[in-house]
Amino acid sequence: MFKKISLILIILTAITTGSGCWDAQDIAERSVVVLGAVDLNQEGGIQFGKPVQYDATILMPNLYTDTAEKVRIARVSGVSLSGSRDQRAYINPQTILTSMIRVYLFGESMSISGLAPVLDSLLRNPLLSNSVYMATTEGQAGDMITVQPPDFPDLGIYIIDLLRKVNDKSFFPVITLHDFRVQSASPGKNPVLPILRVDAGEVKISGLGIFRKDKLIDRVGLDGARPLTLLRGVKCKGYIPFVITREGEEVDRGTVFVGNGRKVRVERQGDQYTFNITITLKGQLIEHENPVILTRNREFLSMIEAQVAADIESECQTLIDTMQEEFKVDCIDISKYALAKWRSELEDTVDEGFIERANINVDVKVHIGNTGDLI
Amino acid sequence: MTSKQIGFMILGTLVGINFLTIPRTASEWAQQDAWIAVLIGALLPLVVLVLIERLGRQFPEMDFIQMSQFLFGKIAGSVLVILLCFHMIIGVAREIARFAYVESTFLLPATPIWAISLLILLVSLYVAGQGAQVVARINELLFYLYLPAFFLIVYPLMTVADYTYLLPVGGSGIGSIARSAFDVSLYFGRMEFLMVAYFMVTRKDEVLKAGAVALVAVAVPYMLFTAVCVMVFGAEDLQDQITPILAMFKSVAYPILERMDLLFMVAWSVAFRPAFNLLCMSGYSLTRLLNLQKRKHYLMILTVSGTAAYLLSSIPRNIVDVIIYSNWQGFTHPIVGLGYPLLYHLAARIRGGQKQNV
Amino acid sequence: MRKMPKKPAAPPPAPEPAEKPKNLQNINIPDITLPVSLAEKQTLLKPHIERSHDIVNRPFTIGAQQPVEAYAIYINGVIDTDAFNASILRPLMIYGEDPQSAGDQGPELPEYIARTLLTVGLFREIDRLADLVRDIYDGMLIIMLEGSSQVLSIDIHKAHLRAIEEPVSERGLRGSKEGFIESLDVNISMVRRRLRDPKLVVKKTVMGQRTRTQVALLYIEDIADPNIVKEVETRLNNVQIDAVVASGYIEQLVQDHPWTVFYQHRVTEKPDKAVMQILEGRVLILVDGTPSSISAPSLFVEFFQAPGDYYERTWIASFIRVLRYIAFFLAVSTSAMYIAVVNFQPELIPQELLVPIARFRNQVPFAVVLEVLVLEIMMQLVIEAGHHLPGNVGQTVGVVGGIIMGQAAITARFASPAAVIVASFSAMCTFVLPSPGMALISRVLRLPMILAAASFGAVGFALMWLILITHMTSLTSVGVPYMSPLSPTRYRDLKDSIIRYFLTSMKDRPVSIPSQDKVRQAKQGVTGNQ
Repeated sequence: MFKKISLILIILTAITTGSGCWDAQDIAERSVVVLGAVDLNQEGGIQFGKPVQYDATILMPNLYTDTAEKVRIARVSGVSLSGSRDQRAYINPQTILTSMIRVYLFGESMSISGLAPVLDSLLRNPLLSNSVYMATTEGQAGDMITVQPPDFPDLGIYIIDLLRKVNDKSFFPVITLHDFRVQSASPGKNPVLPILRVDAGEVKISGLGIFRKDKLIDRVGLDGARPLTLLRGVKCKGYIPFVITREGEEVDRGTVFVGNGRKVRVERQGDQYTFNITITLKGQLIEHENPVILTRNREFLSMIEAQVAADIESECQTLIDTMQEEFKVDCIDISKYALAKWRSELEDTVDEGFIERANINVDVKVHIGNTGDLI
Repeated sequence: MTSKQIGFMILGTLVGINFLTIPRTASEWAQQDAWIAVLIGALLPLVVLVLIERLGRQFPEMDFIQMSQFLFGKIAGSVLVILLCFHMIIGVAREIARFAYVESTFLLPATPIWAISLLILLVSLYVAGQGAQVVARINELLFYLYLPAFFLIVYPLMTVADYTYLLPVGGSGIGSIARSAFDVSLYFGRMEFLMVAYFMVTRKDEVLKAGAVALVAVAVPYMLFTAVCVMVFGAEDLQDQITPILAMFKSVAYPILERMDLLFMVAWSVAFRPAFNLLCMSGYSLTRLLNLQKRKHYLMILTVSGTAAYLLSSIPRNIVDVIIYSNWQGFTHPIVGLGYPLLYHLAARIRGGQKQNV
Repeated sequence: MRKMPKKPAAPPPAPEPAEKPKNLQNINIPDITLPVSLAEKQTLLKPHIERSHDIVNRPFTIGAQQPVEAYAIYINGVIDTDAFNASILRPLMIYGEDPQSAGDQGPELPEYIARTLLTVGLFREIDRLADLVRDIYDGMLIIMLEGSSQVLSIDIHKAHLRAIEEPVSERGLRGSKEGFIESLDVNISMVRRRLRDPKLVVKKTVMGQRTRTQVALLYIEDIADPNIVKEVETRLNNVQIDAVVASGYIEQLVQDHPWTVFYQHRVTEKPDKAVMQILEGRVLILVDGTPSSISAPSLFVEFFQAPGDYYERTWIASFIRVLRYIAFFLAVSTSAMYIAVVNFQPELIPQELLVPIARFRNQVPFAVVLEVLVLEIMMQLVIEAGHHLPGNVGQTVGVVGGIIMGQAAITARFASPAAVIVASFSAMCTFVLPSPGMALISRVLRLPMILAAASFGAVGFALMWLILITHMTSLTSVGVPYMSPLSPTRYRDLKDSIIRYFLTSMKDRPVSIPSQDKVRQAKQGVTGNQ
């Protein structure tokens, strides 16, 4: 008797819990969002008695194959970022699947005002991966989303691939939501973000944005991005052109393809902190114009290495000076080495004037191991 | 059950939803030395293990109920047994509630908490209903199934971890480390289930060794994962994360299987071992206490205990309540875990260590 | 609640020797001693055989000088007529030339002629009516004589034997291609040919009150655990059923857990596999009329082993074994995982794959659960149709049905390509499993997995696996834990479970199966040149 009652109870419970399927929703009824853009609202407005603050624009591949448009772009405004989703219910017949977003763009004004409020919405979403790429744009990010790259199904795939693979081809960092979050929250750290802009109908990377915690304060162009990346120690591979001149005459011109590494040592004398940064570049020579046979002139390769090292050192030193004089934030991520030794003393003050007062020396070592198919 | 199986049961009882949340607790005061706090916190269950093992040696022919009634008399002994069972049922409720909220957060956001809790409870009842031997084997099997999961930390370690977050070692101060170690020790609670399980082991002389190995097997991964979480996030950023382990997996896109956090959570959905372990122990104790025929009434007792645990797990209104109540309930673990064996030792000493044939 | 096995665990009273047929209660046949008079014997026997027109009652006389009246009674078509004529009738009917008269023998005549005249191997003397009737219907030749209550029961069955060939359901690349046939004696001889151990015990018994099917128990006396042998014998003796038509009946009647979907005894049609089972300490049951054997106890891991594993090299065999476990997991889980990710957790799919899947799903008007269930049913119907149709037709149906129906389903928008791939992949995985039983189980288990995933997504899927593993862990086979050596973990036996380690290291018999003699091979000596 007891067994029968137990069985009935179990079946009833199973039917009750099984009939819900509360979370079941077919993928065909959802809109997969690949790219999101967040801007400060420019037009103003009131929602639910409160001023509208943010514009959120999303790009979704069209699931219907027999339609003219391959993508759909939807823009909504809201009092808060997640609050703007309320407006989507009135324009989008399907449920938005924001957890599949792979890249977030933030408008320039948004970045300048600070990304912290928006980050909370993103980080609080348990289904959104923290490995989404982040970038800031020149102008409004929502306007950039309307650009359709000619050789790609949609802008989302284009930007994802652009950002994901850039550090294999150039000295340029890839920043994810996790990176930004950790670097903006940790003492002594400040994030950087790629800057995108529209140029002749194409979206391009135009530089790196310098952030003081979550606020954009300055930027460097593509020329400045290389030393900044090398100084930050972000592992990349890239091409470094060189020109060797002796006594005013050009001796050689060429390019090396190298990967980078960084070592930082910090010393302290009283309140004076000295950072010695050693940047190592290892790779191969991929072109040079001087027809010299390197085995007959072994010093020539050393000359190339020395020239590349000197060029990079000079770039890095220029950037360091700019950082200390203009940016006044540690955008090269070296304060953590001081914190590693003197955390309790520096924790509260490392973000206030610490990097401006530090001595920072750079030493670059270049090692060309390979010269391709020619010697 | 064998001594090896009791080791796996210890491991299973200590490692449940705690595994996902311990780095946050450990780093609250100890900051970069959170991993040291974890190691120190693991000493408490070791002490409880030794106390219970020493107690059990004095009464090799008895089980927990017989020993309680022998030492304290029939009524007082029964009351102690019931109180321990009630404590274990509360532990089941806590585990169910926390599991339900975490699963609701990551995997089933629209499913009501009561449905997820009921699901976990029903499965726990089914597993516990198979008997202690099957429960012990399930613990053993699940341990081996989860072993590969420990290699998952390699990828974040290689990509986003920053070793400077762990330095300087010891820099947070002994006081802070001790404070965090105490908080962590509450996570290592529930060893008191051994008061019941010890007497089910055939080779009791091997329990201490098996238990010690199990504790090391718990403490070392906890320490490793805590250290890696600190390296990935830094101590400050860990504080506002409910489940740092999952956040760590979420921070990197693993090759091929991009969302390792969700996959891990799916696999961890069955890791509510403390729930069915404690249900089994409390059910067994109550069945023996009431002198019921095990085969017939064990399941009935389990159903009643499970229902009580379910009702208790429904009390918290939201995740904040769950965390707060859970922290409060955590304080009862050292009280019961240390208090019970010490009390029994005292009573045994007063009684002169006499054994009564039962 | 773990169900205790219904069969008693205590050792049973010692069963009667298997050589002597069991004295089962015969319906309506009085158990009386036969009279001396031939006519009275005929009168007693007549009511029990007169309705069977295939029973021949052939009168003849033994001897010419003092002829003794006799009858030969047999079922036409069952006995070997040539042997009857040459070895029975002829020597008896020309006995009369011998100066010794048959009438001088008196009541000892049956024994006398059996010893001196009959050139047959198996015979016995019976004097009870119940035994007489039983032996007639067992296919024996009965010789009744005047003047003696003893009758001769002679075994000259005609051998209607099928040729020995490779079993269809257990093909292998290497190893023996022989399979059991329907004759119990031939099957026993196949085992004996491979296992010439004097300690091999063959115990015969009869089961089924009406079918009276011969059943043989085989084990090695100094390897098999006596408790397990006793337990199996007790269970067989406790079976009270009127018909045992096939070994499947016995399998279901003596198992520990009748309600589970898992087989608790291993069934094989291959003698080499059966011999391996016996050598590991198991008891083998052979049933007359069934070309397969049952071994007990059996473990879950055995259903993923094939004899060919031991003929291959370690790395290859281990790779294939691991593949089988993966195939089992995928066979049970693929459809459920598909439902879970499409309906509940699409984040688990890479985005590049998700968008095409979503586009194809958009074209199908049915819910994904219905889509998967319909495809599963279609796949199962195709498989079943292929089994029941003869040879080439079955193969053609399988191929054509699978391909054309799948393509038509996509074109007609009944299903999306991903769902078709999932359903056919699941089916393919079941065919990787070496045990037909385990393949069937994987097909059955798919359904609760699908329902669990349809209700709670990946969480339901994971919990259902926990329930399944718990259920398997709670099973026993003749008291031996079914999931051993995985749970409880027997590290030594893991060498031959998920992987197949080097044969030279498998010196002992599996610990998971209780046995007496644990040593399988001695320590290997030095190689040839030393």
